[in-house]
Amino acid sequence: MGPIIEQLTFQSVWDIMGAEVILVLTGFALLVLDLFLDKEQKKLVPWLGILSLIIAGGLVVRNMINIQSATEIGQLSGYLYVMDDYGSIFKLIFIVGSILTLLISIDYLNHVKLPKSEYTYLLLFATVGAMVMASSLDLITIFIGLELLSIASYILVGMRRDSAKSAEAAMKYLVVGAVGTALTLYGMSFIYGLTGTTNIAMAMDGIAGVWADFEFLVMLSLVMMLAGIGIKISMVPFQMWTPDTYEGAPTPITAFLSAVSKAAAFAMLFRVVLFLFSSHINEWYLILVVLAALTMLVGNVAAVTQKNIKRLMAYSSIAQAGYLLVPIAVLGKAQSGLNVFQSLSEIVFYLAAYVLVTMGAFAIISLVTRDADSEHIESFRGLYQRSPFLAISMSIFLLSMAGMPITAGFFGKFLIILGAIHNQSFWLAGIMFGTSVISFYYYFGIMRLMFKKETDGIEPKLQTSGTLSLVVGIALIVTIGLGVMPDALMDVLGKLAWFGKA
Amino acid sequence: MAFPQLTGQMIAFMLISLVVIGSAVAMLFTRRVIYMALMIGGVFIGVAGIYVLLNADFIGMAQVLIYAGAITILMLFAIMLTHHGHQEQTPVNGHTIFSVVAAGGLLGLLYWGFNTVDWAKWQSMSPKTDAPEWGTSSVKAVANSIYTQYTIPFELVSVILIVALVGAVILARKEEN
Amino acid sequence: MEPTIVRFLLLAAVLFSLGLFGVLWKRNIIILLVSIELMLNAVNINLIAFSRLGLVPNINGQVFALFAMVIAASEVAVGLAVLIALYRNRNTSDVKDMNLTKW
Repeated sequence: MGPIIEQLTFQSVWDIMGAEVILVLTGFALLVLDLFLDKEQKKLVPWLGILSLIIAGGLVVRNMINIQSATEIGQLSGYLYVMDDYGSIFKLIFIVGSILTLLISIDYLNHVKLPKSEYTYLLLFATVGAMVMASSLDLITIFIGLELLSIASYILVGMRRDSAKSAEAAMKYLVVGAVGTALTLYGMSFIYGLTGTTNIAMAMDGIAGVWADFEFLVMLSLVMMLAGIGIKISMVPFQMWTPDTYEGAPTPITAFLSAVSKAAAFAMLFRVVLFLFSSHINEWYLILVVLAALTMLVGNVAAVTQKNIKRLMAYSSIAQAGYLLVPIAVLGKAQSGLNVFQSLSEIVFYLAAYVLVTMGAFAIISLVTRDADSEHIESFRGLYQRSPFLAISMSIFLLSMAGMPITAGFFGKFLIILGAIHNQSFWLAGIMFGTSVISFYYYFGIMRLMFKKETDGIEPKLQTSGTLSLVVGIALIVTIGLGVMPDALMDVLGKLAWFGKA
Repeated sequence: MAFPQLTGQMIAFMLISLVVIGSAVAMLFTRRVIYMALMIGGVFIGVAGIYVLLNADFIGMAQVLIYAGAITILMLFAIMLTHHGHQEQTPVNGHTIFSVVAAGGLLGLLYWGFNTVDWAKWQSMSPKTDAPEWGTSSVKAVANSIYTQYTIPFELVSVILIVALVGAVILARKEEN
Repeated sequence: MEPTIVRFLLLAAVLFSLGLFGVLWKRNIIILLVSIELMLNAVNINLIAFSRLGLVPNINGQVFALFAMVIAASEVAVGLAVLIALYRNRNTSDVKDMNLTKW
């Protein structure tokens, strides 16, 4: 049997998963409150959601400060749920992503008829699911978190009742996602069978011990879990659902899927891979290398021909998933254990930059596509005349995604390529560099359209709303801020106690 | 794999497997959606039988209640709410060939892989007890485990159920105006 | 005593592959959802078999299977709700008209 399970107390739960508790309670409160609010008051509901997310963010920061002085990491139910900086830093990314999603949504919900309260609390529950995926050490709990995120996302995607595309997108997402769930579970079942525990920290030694005797079963489990999680991060060859779902979903939800949902799946992937399979990573890392290379290639090449802006962003997000796979793939050749922390820093830096840029870009996409009533990239034509601020911001976001200097995206990519070279993975670094060059083509295509002169020249100015400007402003400050002084974040990341004090 | 000896357990396993796989195959090839719902009921009950063979009585019961009861009925309702004619037989084309190759390939890989595993070693490493590890009452053991070790996922499942409930309502309800 | 665990794993493998075949091959959404249930049932057979005959048999496998069942049920509920929304949106009398064409 495992360790003695000490009883849960309110104090211990509050200390370790306070952020999750706040969000779940707010969600339930909004669910009840919805019955008593009239139409005008319901407009405040998303703001309540944002407030609860800010409080949750505060609690996560509290945890990160506490852990600096703690002698051992906080845990619940025999290391079923832990409070380490790995989880906390990912939680911060999710919370920022969700706050920005809600800010975009406030503008979006004013124009599209959707149930506001349901929308808000489903988003909060989805965020809780993401947080559970990042902080749990238990296969069952990780799986429950994954499903909480997924099921809430299916509903959010299919919420638009005026559009058949929305329901179809939800259906496709649900079917593919459910297959992903089944594959992940099939993989997890072998871990349990080989070790008799569902705790990945305790299974770590067990797996290393039986690797030689039952190599096929361990590898089967790894491949199945990779495929299942690969569906969630839209890794090639499991990316087919991504463009259709991103196109059909409400625009803020597309942003949420490509930022928070993807970051959560990465948090889960790294946790599982590092804990369960890292003992023999040099035997199987080629799988990851091939998948990362394919994902970068397919995402970037397919994006070139896209004419729908949301589909283009979908392929771009597939490509970004490929870049993010590189830091783990190169661990196969790593010389020392310290490289793990280096890779983690690269991933978190890139994700932070990516989430902010995605949110900023989608805020602008949401406004422009609604104004033009079309998602064709032609709706960006002449944006500079209509709103110079938006056109310049969008250009900076696109430059950051492409990885041009003085943006956060540049340092994100730079660090990953540097890490790959440091670990002697020259091929992967080369492919990453080459596919980035391809990506310039389609990112510059949009920029060229934005700065082109309108033919008739009398387009009305584009009015932004306060919340959208706020999102764009925040994203802009962080993107340029991290681009000019990346050390600000890298220093923090360097001080983190990733998996507790070593 | 050595040729298995025929014991009562073995015969029961063979019969149940036959029912499960037979129903699953019939389900995939039947042309009427409503028959399919009955076939899937057969699969679910057969799988419950497998659980009972493995001394997991409580899970077997839950399987009958949740799958054979709730999910099958839910499927039947959905079939009746949407109109389904005869399903045309899918023509043999590239898509069919791809499906057969992918699923057949997976099965072949698994069969080959399981044959390479040294199961005698597995047998020697796993404890040889005739009685299950959790004693006679699997209900008690499951309850104990859920309410001590797995309290957090248990609470989170309630959130999932609320999400699914709310989601089903807002997706399936009629337009208000 | 011959290794009984293999039988159960093979049965689960057959069921899992059949489910995958259904998901890839079929165009009817309800059959897709049912095929996914086949895959999840296969997983549960694995878990229960390991909980009795695994290297370290214990009750956790049954708990895992129980959680998997609950998730499967909520997934099906949401899936059928989406199906009904889709059906109403497309206003067609036949599910095959709203098949998801581009995979």
